[in-house]
Amino acid sequence: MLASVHSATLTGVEGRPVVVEVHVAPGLPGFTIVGLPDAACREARDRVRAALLSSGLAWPLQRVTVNLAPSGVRKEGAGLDLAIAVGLLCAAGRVDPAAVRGCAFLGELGLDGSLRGVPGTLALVDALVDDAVVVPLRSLAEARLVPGVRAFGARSLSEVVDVVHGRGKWLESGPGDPTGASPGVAAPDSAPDVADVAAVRGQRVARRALEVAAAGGHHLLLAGPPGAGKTMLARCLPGLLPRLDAAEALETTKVHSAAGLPLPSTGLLETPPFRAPHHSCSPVALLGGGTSIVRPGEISLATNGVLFLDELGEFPSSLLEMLRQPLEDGSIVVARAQARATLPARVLLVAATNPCPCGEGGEPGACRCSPAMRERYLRRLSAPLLDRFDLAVAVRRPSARELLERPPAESSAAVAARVAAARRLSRGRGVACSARIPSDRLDELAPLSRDARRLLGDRIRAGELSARGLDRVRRVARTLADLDGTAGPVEDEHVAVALELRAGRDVLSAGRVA
Amino acid sequence: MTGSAGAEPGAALERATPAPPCPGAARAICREPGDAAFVVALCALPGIGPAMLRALLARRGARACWDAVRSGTLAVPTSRRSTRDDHERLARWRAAAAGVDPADLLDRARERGISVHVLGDPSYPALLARELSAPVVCFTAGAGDLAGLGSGPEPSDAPARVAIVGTRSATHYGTEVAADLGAGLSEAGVCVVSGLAAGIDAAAHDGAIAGGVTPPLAIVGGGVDVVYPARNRRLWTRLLAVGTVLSEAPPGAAPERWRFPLRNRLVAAASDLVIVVEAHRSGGAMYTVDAALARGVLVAAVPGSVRSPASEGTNALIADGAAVVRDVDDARALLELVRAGQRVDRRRSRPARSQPDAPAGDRPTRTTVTDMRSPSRTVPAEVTDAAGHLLAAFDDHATSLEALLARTGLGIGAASLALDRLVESGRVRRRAGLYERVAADGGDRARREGVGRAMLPSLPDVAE
Repeated sequence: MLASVHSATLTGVEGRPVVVEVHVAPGLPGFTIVGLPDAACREARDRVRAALLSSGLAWPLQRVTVNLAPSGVRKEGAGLDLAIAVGLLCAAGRVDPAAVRGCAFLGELGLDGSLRGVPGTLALVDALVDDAVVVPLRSLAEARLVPGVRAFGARSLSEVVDVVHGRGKWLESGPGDPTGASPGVAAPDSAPDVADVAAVRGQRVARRALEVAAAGGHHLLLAGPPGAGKTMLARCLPGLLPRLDAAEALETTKVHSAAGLPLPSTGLLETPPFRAPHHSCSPVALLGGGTSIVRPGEISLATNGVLFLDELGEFPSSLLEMLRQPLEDGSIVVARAQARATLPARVLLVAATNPCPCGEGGEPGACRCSPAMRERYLRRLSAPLLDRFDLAVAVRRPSARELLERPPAESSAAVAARVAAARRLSRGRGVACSARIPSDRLDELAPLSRDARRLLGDRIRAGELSARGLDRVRRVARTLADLDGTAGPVEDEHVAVALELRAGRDVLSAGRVA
Repeated sequence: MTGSAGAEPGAALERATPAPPCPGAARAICREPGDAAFVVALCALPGIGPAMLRALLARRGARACWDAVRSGTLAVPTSRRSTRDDHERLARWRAAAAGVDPADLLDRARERGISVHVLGDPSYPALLARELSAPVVCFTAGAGDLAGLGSGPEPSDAPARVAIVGTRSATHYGTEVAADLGAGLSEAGVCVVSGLAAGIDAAAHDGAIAGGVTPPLAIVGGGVDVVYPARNRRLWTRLLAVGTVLSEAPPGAAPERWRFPLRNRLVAAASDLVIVVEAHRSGGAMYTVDAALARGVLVAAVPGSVRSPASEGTNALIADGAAVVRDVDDARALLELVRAGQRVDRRRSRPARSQPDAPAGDRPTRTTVTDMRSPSRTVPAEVTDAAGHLLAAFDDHATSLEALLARTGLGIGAASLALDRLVESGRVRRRAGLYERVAADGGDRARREGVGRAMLPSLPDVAE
């Protein structure tokens, strides 16, 4: 007898509907899964059998064939367990197929018949909008984030069978749900690795750069000696960014869910993520990929948030070069022999680097590296990569007096308010943030005042600014004007500051600092 | 520090009748009870300096002097210039003395927390007592006791004292070094002595207060209750809370110009070591240097950029053989040497200071530094706008925008724009993300360099 049940599997961060076809026929008792299952999926046989027996349901002593359609797509993980079990029960005549029509099932089975959550629930449910979806109770909050979905929760296989038989009702709220009685294990709502900018002493230029980066979405490079507070500054950035809007939050949550990372108790990531991969990380970990199944990398996990690369000079240069295309496109296409996925990669890139191997290059007279050593060190940072950074700031160690005597500066909340106002101005022009203004619309969206034009002209004539650099300076100047509340043309002051905020490039490109 | 020298009224007389070099007790002024009040009253007469006061009191008792002033019968030739000046002065004194109750004067000073020390009193600072031109009377205020000056007969157990002096128009480099030295020395148990003037003095005291271990000593030109310059008021208050302010001018005395060189001699006399942090070619700091050298006090200088006018004096001192101080450790090492020398001196029962004393208030005899041409750079006139602020905020090193913002308090927008214009006009150079001030006569220099290059081909001929 044949039964088919709807479910879904994950490709990259997108769900893909899967029809689980179960055929039970007389013959030697056996169990075969076909349709490109991965190892975890193939092992469903043993989990399903144990779960059925634990739940007091009989295992058909017949020949069972499970086909996962479309059979050309790789199926991964244990998320299809529940669908296979339900399909098996239908095919064996224990459950009325009509009762599960229009219903999709997601969930991993424990040997005792309990239901466990699946990575990527959000994306999977998103792919099943035509059906009512039954998910493990723990994932119910996440599943309900999908607009227009009918999702129900269950704790165990026997519960599912009971409801299908009309002996019970689907659970409406789960432990992760705010209305639920018992709180589940979830990520804390505010990320602990986000610092408040009030804790930064001195560093007015770098603080301004952070604010501009947050308001305009400009990639930021911090260059300075160890102990200057580069990491601290970078960790402040997520606190300055506006909260994610609905679409962004869904997109980011989808990626985090697909990677199996913990989600906040509401199921939805509403604060910008902050990812700081170590420089020893592999290309796959950074960009996403995998042998057969595409997993999101750090750049996708940081989407709509901050990707922080500390010690940029220590990353293999080949890895950094791979970053260039996704930074430009805001997405990354991971293609493998058996799978291909497009992952979001719309990050605000913040990088920190020492100016030279000894780290002291920014301090006049302090660096003792030979010019050749400096050159080797900086060669890893190719010009095209450096060009991605609209903002480059030299960070210097604050003096003891600054550390001890400076009163605490503005808090992140105060800066974030200005950032939000600037972003509103930018949205009013139809661009999410100034960094995304196309070059051909700069004259229209970021016109220059007469003085600003003259100032830029002087710099170009002096050979200090290239044509490509000009566009970047104009975008940053637009952001600065927005932060000032200037909706009209960009003034010379904004241009002057924009030029200052990329002066860190000179520290890197110059030889020994005189 | 740079009080330009007016001749002290009694300087000439001081030369005529030098006081004998003997301990303070032997020179006791108060011979009968109540004399202190008359000394204070005499000291408050207009235009009377320490030398003249000393001369007056060397001849008769304090009460007799005061009575003579009141009655106009003071028959002392107070100046060798002309008797007419003397008559005018005596008349001025008589007028000023009318209606003054000396006892009341003393009481009022004490009520305001000012201590009065007359030469010969047990409370009189022992170190000043050994000074040839010791003040007849000095006044102190503040929470610090006089331990820093050794009020007992044996000043050897008192903490070491180091004077940190320098120009009033200091650069950021200078004020930062002075503050670091002040803090480091205070932490090391050294009493920091300075003049509480603007610039280096203020920075040194600021640092010493921040160091917080050893109470600093300020020796000022005016009365101990007269804050000068006014912008030092807060520092003055903070210093009074922990340290001592000392002056030989009576309470309420205005900081008249002629008092400053005299004050500088006391700074030198009270110190085991004088460190000049920044000094122009001439100026008050150099008076302190000369007074120190005359007393055999070791003089050290902090080296600076050879392009910085504010370091011309200190660099010249180093060229002349002054010890070099780069940090607190240098200063402490020098101090060790000085103290070791003093211990040896004491064991041999020799007077601590072997060099003959120079007449107080006299023009310095060391001329290597002061005779050179006068300082060339001054603060530019346009200090009112942002560009001016920025120019003034440069020292002679490459400076980051961050540091310029911290020094000027300007907003990043105004500063960036002003810097752009300064670079445009050639006043400031941008290099490797840092800014450098081009020498004030940069335009001229550029022109000169242009001329120099044009003349290069002729150089071989010149060489031959």
